Amino acid sequence: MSKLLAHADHSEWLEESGLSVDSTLLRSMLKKAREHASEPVSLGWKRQLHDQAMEIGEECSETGWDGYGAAAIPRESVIKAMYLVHQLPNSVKPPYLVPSPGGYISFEWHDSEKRVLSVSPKNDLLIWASVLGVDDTRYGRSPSRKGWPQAVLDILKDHFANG
Amino acid sequence: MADPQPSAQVNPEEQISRYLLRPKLFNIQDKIVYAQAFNPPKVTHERPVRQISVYRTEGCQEQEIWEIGDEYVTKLHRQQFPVLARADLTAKHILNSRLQIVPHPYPHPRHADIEGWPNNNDEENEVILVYLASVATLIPRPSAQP
Repeated sequence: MSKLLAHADHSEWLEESGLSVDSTLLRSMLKKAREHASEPVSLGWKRQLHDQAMEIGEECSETGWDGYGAAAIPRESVIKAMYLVHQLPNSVKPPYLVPSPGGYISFEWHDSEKRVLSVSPKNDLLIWASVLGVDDTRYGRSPSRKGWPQAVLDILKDHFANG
Repeated sequence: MADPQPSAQVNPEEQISRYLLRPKLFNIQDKIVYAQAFNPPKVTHERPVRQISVYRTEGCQEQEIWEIGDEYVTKLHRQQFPVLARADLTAKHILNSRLQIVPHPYPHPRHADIEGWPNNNDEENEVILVYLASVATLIPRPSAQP
């Protein structure tokens, strides 16, 4: 699947007008996603997540993909997700990429203790929330252009670190 | 056979089931219901209230719960996606999230909608979603087990 991304001609994506995100940012995201897709398979889970994001984009491209009236997931949401995958530290557990009925791709982390962290790239924001214990619920928002919020990185480090 | 007419008042201890039709909204191997499985679609002209459709399945036999899904979810939906699994919740978890469970006995007496989702507060919405995911139990369709 990543091969498709690496070799496909994306000029039409770049030329497309009316995108809701800043076109410069979108170009940068696409460039990084394309570079990443051409990296070796040995890069592991990030490569797999790229493939998953592409798959979600294909399977959820039409309204009602969930059987309940979900919004279609547009290509720009797939690109945003790929960019965020690229930006994740290697030291964290890989997230689950989940299509949202809101028309974007969410990043979720779950553990066996029922701790949950969800980060949703919505419009030009990252909306996030976590339940880490009975009295430990955290949430926030941050502009997408700033990358992963520090509060989210802290939660990942404390609760969803790799190894 | 369970009583087909549940009480008008939702009991906080009763079981509420959300049928899951797409494999990308849950994970059988890790026994996870993803938070997005509970996210209501955007408001549209045809659907002016943010809500998700659920069934009040307290007291039902397992077979009956799956049959309700087949007859009243799959068959009535345009794409006719099969029911692959369900997310079971206790009503109090939904009510604790300041949502309402509104009985809506069409197409089935056990049908209800979860309403009261925040319209203009994305963080609050996200908090509700992760909370519901943290308390939900994934029940895979027996035939869908790996």
